[in-house]
Amino acid sequence: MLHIDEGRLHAYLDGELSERERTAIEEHLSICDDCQAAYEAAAALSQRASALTSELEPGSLNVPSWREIEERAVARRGEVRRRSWIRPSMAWAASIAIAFGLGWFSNSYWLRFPTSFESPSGPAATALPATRGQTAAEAVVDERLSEESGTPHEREAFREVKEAEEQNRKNETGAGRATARQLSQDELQVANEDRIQVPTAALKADRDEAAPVERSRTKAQPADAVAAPREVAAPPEAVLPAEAEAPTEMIIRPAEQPAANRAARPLIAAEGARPDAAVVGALKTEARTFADSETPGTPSSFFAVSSDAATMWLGVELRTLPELTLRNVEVGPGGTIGGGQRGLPVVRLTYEDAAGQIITLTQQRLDRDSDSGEDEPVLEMDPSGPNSYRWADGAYRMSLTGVISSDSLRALAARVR
Amino acid sequence: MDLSQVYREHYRSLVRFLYRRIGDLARAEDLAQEAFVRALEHQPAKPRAWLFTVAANLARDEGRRAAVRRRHLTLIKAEAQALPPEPGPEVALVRREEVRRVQAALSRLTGRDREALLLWEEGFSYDEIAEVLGLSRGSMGTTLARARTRLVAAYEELESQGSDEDVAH
Repeated sequence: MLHIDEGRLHAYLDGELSERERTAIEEHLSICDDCQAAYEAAAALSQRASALTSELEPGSLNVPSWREIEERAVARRGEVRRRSWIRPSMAWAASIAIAFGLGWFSNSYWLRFPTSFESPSGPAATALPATRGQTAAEAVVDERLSEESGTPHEREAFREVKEAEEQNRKNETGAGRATARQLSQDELQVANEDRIQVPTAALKADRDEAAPVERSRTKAQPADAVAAPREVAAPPEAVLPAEAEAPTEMIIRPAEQPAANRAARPLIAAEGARPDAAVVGALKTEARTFADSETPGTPSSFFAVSSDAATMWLGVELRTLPELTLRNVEVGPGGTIGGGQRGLPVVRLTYEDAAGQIITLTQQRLDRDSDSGEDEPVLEMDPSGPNSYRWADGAYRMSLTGVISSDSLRALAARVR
Repeated sequence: MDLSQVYREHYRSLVRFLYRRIGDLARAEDLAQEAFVRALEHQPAKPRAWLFTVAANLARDEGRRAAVRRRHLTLIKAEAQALPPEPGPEVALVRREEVRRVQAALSRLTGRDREALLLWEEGFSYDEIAEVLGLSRGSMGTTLARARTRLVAAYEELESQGSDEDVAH
């Protein structure tokens, strides 16, 4: 007869067998001495093992309350949530920040200009001088080359133009010049229509007809959207040739522009992968001059710029309030500063003080020859709004505005550097 | 079952299981509390078996990290904590020696055998032990028989070695 194996004996001792198995084992133990001995040995072994393990008794325990355990679990859930929260929230924050940034740039640099194309003063022609004997594009390209800027495609295009020009000079005949320029004109006419439509439309537009102006405005927007914002944000002096005394003198009338020269401008757009930002910037600069017919050369409304660009707009060194936190720099029309001169841009610096109060410092270059504004400081108090303190100071007309006391305004004015 | 009730009924058992498993009472308490915190997060259907499964896993991780060196250190610490109020220097010495031998004997078992034995000592059924350790229920009697045999044999061997050392001294 088969004996009971050790595993089954331990299971029997541990009470882990079914009723039927237990009965079978008990029947066998009653008739098998060997298995009975094995059973007794297994029982002793089990008791001994339990006794040995019971030697390892932990003694007194530190038993935290159940509330403590729950608080730990809650704290851990919070940590996990925060960890899982951070990435998407950061991603959202970054997306929103980028969207606002793009919107800010768009608003600051682009949306100011389309109204200028509706100006009754005429279409947006070119802002480059006719007296130089160059086309507008050549003038811009010259400037670009002198700075060794532009893409390789653009530099190559410039070289081609210059070579053709050199050849024309050697020929010393009008017919030769026309022949030499014809090819590039034909080649680039398609690109002219596709890529930079602002100049094309503008050059063809009749200054006295409103309909062409409207068309040029419609087409101008896509070209605007791809140009570099910084170049447009620069003041006229940053884009235009130095000899341009005033923006109004830089206009080339379409009728005065040689046909061969008109082809030179799109050359850059055709060769390069992107439109010539300098050209677009020049056109926009000119467009700004028409935006405010009473104040040519100044923007029609405020738009944000860098501090460096603001200095260039101002024409003198930018004055600041170094003790406050600078939030924004804008350039705007001359009439927005009390006693200011129309026709000269103003720069408005927006500051935030330690208490979170917004204070604006507006400044304009003081043109003593034509300025008729007051020299004495003026304090304007508005019980329901911001107070304003303005003064003329050396080469500047300054204005400080904020919802702060007149004494604070005067004290701040003394801290302008 | 309400976890707070499980905590009241089985916290001490879980600490003891861990203490016997790793030999460090303070660490055993930490791991037991950790198991309950995790139980609150997971809300297991069978909390007792789940808690001991997690505790066994935590103990295994603990063992892998600490290895032999800490075992010796914690043995000393555990002995001091495990002892009842000292009846006298000689009795205390004997108790300490017994604890050390049991710990050493347990350490000679395989991990599965040791855990099965300790779970049984904590009142687990074969089904529960099989569930916690991932073993078949049919092999449980054999596993426990082997674990008990080896534990007792190892202890007696260590005890005889100790007697020989005493004689030698």
